[in-house]
Amino acid sequence: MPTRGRRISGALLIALAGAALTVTPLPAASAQDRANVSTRTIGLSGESRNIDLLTLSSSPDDADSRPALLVVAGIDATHVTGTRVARHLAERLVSEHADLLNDYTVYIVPLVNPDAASRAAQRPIGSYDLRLTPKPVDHDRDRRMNEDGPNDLNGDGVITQMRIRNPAPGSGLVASHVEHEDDARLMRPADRSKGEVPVFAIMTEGLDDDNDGSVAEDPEGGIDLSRHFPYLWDEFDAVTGDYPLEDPGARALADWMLTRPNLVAVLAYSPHDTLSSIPADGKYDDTRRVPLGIESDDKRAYEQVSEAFVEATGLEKAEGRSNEGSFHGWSYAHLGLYSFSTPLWSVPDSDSDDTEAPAPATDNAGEAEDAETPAGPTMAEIQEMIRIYESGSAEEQEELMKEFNAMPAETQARIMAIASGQPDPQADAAAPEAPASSPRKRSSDINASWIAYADERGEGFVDWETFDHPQFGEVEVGGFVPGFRLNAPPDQIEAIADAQTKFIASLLGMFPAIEVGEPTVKSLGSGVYEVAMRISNTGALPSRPAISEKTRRWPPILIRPQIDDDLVLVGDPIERIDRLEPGQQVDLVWTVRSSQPTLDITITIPESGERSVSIDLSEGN
Amino acid sequence: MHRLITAALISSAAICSTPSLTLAQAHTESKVDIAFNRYYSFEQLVDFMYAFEREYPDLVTTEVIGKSQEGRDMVLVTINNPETGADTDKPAMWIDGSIHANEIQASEVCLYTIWYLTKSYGSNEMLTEIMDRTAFYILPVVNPDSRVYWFEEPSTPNSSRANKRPIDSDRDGLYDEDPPNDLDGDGSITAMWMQEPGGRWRRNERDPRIFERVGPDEEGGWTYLGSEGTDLDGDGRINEDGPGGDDMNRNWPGGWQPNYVQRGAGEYALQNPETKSIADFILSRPNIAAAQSYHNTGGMILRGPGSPTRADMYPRADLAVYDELARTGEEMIPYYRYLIIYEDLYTVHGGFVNWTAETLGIVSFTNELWTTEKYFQRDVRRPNDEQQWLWRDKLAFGDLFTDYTEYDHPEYGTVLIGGPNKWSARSTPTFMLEEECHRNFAFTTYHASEMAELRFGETRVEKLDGDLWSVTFEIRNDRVIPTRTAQAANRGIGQPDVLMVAGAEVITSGTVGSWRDKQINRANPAGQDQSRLLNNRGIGGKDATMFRVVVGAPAGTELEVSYSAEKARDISTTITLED
Repeated sequence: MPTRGRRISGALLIALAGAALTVTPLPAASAQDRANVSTRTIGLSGESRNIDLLTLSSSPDDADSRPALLVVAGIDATHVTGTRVARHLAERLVSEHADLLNDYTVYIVPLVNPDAASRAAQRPIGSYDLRLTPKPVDHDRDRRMNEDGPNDLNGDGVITQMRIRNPAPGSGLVASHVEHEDDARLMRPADRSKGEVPVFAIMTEGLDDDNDGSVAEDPEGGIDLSRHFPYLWDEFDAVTGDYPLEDPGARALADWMLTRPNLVAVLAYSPHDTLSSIPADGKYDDTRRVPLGIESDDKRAYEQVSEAFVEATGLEKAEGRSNEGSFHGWSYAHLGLYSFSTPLWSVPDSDSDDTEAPAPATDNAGEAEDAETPAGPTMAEIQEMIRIYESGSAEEQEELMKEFNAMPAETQARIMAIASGQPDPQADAAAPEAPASSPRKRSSDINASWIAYADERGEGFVDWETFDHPQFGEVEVGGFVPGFRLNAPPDQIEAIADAQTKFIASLLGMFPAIEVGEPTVKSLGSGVYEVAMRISNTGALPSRPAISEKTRRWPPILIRPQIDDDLVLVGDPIERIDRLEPGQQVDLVWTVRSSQPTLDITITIPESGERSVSIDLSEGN
Repeated sequence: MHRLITAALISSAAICSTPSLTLAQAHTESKVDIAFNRYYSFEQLVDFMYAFEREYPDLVTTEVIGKSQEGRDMVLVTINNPETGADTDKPAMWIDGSIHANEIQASEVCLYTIWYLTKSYGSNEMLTEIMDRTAFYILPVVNPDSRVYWFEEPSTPNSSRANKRPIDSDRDGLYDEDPPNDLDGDGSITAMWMQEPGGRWRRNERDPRIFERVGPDEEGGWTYLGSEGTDLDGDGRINEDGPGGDDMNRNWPGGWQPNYVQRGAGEYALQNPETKSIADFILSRPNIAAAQSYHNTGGMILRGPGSPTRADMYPRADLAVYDELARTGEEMIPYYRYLIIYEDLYTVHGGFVNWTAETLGIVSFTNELWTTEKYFQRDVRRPNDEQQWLWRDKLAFGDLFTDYTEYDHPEYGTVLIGGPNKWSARSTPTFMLEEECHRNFAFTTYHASEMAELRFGETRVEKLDGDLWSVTFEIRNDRVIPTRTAQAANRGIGQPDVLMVAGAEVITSGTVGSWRDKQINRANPAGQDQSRLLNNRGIGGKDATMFRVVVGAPAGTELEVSYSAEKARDISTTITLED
């Protein structure tokens, strides 16, 4: 049956993992592998925390002149799974795919909102304020700041919801919901068109601290960075910022990207999906120019990448948010880069066979569970750590976090599992059993799937319990634990990282590859030569997405014979190639007058820098 | 050093002011003597701003709000009398100029505004009254780098509009490597002409300075080669990658669109140090209620929206405000017309006044200074070539023109270079500059004077029963601009006004439509604080809102009532509970 009391692992996950984000990753990588990773700071957050950039390349000096993939996580700091996977990814790529790092650079920004993440250790854990930067905002515009945040009424350490049955007339509360017919723990809006009378008023767990009739409407913070980028930015919302990229961390990321013409693609780990399902194509905003999804000419490329993604991860569906103000939307529609996003995790399909373990997101999940468990802290030690975490002093907690961060990922996962009330995975490596009485519901309602999954996991949903509210009388407090529906359980992080490593390897394998052919020369007599050269794309993706022809953000491929333009009789002294389809070849031909024995041609490819070829003109004779 | 010399000149000028002038006509000297029949460099403008601060320390403060792309100071002048309150406690008017740096007289109008206001404080009753209840934030040069460039480097009337953020205009991987060049050394970029068979232009028989197109069957003999310059980067093209930059009047966050929708927009809104510094300042001053951004040219008083998709951001109540102000402006500035940017001009995404008006709820105009109609001050909308030459020869005595000279061009051979110079269009002729400054200053000061000013109107106290009282009072705004625009109220911009009642227990409270109304439109439900009322709609222009509170207190109790609005001075009063 549903969980109770301390079994709130979703929130604890956020807390522990959030604090864990501040350290440099790669505890398990070898020294040699580590040489392929360099870390630097591209800017500071609002509270002066570093925005770190990891550069993965076999040759750090050349990293910025190789075609690159940028992986970004932690734009929404509550999406802890993204940051954790990004962190593991660095380790996997350098140790398992060092060969790819000879040809490509992978940049990783694991945490764009470290200020919010640093608040993750604060209690109680609420879902909304953790998403926001600490910038002061008067959310309810009553000329008082932060005066009505949520309150943990039942003292379970998390902010869930409150429901009030049949609120009294004159109370100012309005009923809007009814119990879900399949599961009375779930609420759904009353269907007034069928004469259904709403029964419950529903709101965030809390008090009306400022006595204005609204509950928890003015919490601390800030800006939601997942809605803060210039693409389709909402200028009239309290949490999107006074202007896009007002947040210094987000702005630092954007400014750094603008200096990197070697970027080919961007992969965001964020609560948006463009990979399990590709974005709608050919739809535009009210200027009729800016795509709401993708250009129709990019559909094929997105389908290709999506197929590779689903094959590597098995993640066939994912819940996505609106992409207004999103980082990945900006990278695509304003910068003209291939840009993808995945939440990495979705509600496991509870319509599958009941006897299976909680639906692993990937084929590799089983491997992680079967892996030999290394020796680690004893159960007593872990329980002592949990005690300190929950009730120790600030210094003790900080010390604990350092210790925790230094541990191998497996041990971390194990501690979090125990902290969240699961059986010790080391004592019982078998997958936790679904509760025998777990109700199975067939429902199109996504929350019905989530609650079924919560029942399987024995966590993630706080059962409704009555509470005597000082302002509203008898209420019930309960609902989903914040972060539970957004984050994969800790025991699946490794498996997700495996799948992502596989996906990234296949994505890099699809990257456009610009080949420069050997030039040919033909003498036309009297010191006049015809010189020809072929440029082609031997990769699986077009050299740039179709949107790049609109944005014209990056320089084209430039081909320049190094000769005075007066001596070029036919042809353009500077040839520009904006975009090459896969397999497309472009032949460039010049007729030049020259008394020199050789002619140099420079080719500048934005993704890989400049090179020069020399032609022996005498060969044309 | 330069600043010291200017300061010395200024103070000696002040000493030399002659009493005989005063005898002839009452005349107010400024302690900072400035002639408004000429234009000033960026450095001179900055020196003047510091001189105003020195000479009028009780009224003027300067502040460097940021640095330009090339590191120049963005100097802002605040005009406020602190004895009547801090600038942040008063409604304030924002005034700027030269975001498009070639539109030079915009800065002189700002300078004139500082000059006229400071010297008038204490000597002119109307202006003193306006300055006592408002504040002015004046940024004469939004785009310092390009103003310096326009004055010091070869330019045309139209060049150096953008800022100097380097942009690879010809997409060859190099930045700003092939600008126009002043080949004849006259300080301007003029035109290049070449004589060749098949040329489609000829020289006018009576006045060979005039080139005119020939008909399809005629032989012209002259070809227009574009503006003055050479092919510096050897790509076969001339002047194709000049200095900078972004059109900073497309770089603001209100309805900003990327470059492929809006040319010159920049990579993202407020990417430029100039625009970001200004935005951060304006966002820190929610008391700014009015804005003017001077441009040239065309003789226009422009309001938004810049784009038809944002027409709904000017609700009817706000349009009445814009109309009243601008129609008065049309009377004050002859040949200026009140127009709507997207309808009458062209579509602009991310314009400054669009951001201030639509995103921030500030009543904003852009005046396009100078119009060719003012050349002859008759019904000549667009003077023809001959009229223009009459002007250049007979009124400007040839100063607006560089004679054609032969030049041996590296790409074209022998060419003719010359023509109207950078002063020949857009900038107000210097002998008419003072009038242009004054009329626009007067309009903008009128705009400022119409920012909301609140007072308590009539009050009625009625004894209901024992210690129960009903108190009804008006809060009036006698000015045209409301405390909150309808756009601000509709979109939740800024913070609502708030009414506070203290001194007695407030049992219920709200607004009434008239004295006769018996029932209160209650603001807050029972059980909530009745002594603090948020008023999102604000107090309208030339309007009043009537509040009623029911309080329980013995007779003789003094009720303290205060009203606070972001874009007006706070007011408070005491009402005694008595029959």
